[in-house]
Amino acid sequence: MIQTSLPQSNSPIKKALTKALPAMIGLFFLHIAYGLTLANAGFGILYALTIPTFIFSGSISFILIDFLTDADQLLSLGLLTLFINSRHIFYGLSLYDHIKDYKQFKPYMIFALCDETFTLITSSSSKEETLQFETQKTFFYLAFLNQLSCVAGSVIGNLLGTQSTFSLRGIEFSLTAIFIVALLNNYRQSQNKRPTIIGGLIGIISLLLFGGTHMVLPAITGVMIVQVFQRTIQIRRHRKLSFT
Amino acid sequence: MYAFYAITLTALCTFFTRSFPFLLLSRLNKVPSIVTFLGQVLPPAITAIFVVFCFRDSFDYFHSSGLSGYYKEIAAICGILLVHKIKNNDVLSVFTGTAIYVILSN
Repeated sequence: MIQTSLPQSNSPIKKALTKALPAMIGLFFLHIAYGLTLANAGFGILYALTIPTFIFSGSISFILIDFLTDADQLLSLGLLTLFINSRHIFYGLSLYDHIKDYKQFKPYMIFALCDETFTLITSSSSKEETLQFETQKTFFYLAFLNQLSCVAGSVIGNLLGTQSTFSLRGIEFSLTAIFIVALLNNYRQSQNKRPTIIGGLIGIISLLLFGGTHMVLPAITGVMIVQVFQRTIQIRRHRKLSFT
Repeated sequence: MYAFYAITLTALCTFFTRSFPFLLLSRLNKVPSIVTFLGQVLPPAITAIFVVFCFRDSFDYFHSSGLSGYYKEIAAICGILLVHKIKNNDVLSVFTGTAIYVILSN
């Protein structure tokens, strides 16, 4: 054990617990809903265990349920996962400097970089802390506790759904609720409201054109095309103005 | 068996999205500006697309009962908007919306 000069009154686990507790509770209840949804769709404890353990991404794991019941769509599923979880690319991008210094926890930290963990790490770390071993341990425990809450909630929810007559019709709405809340937060925080609105409009058009299961990829592609197009026009206009 | 492939594929894709920057940035020196631009612009748009995606199945009601068939969704959304505006707590808003929808569904 490395002895630091300052007395450590809180162990890394305790620090991680206090930081992560709200997220843990949220993740736990969300995954109870997930376990119940799995049970409603006819999937048992094996799925409730393996999905949060190996995938560990709330949004795609909900969508995965639809794909499990609707076979032969592996390509769509893969592409959908890449796109829906594309935001994780930006998590790694933001935390690159921080995580590249981890020696023993690096693979797990990269694996477990979900929305909540990312938010907790970026909102609490300071530059001086990042290099200390103690902070690395704290963030590791943080990520681990978050995932533990997910697995626990999922298993418990699934057991409730399969072993008892406890059924909660409509529990899948929890995923919709999460996205709506995320949308509200995004909308409020962004200076430019246009991407949200463009996304919504293109989403609706894509839904009408391609139907439910296939709408996401064309929609995201459409948004990318529109945004790059807009930006190209902006750059051209800027160039014209700077030459006059 | 298909389930095994589906779960493995999803796990690999998810892990790829998380490790992608670490693979890429160790080779590049700077991030192209288009990537930064998309990084700011795509997330809100994608979230909006997901919200539409979540409602993809509920449009069947429209043909049978018109707008009144949506009372559950509308009530839940109103609940979320209200609670989020007042308390600004993510977990509470999600819980309220889900609770309203579940209560109305049972």
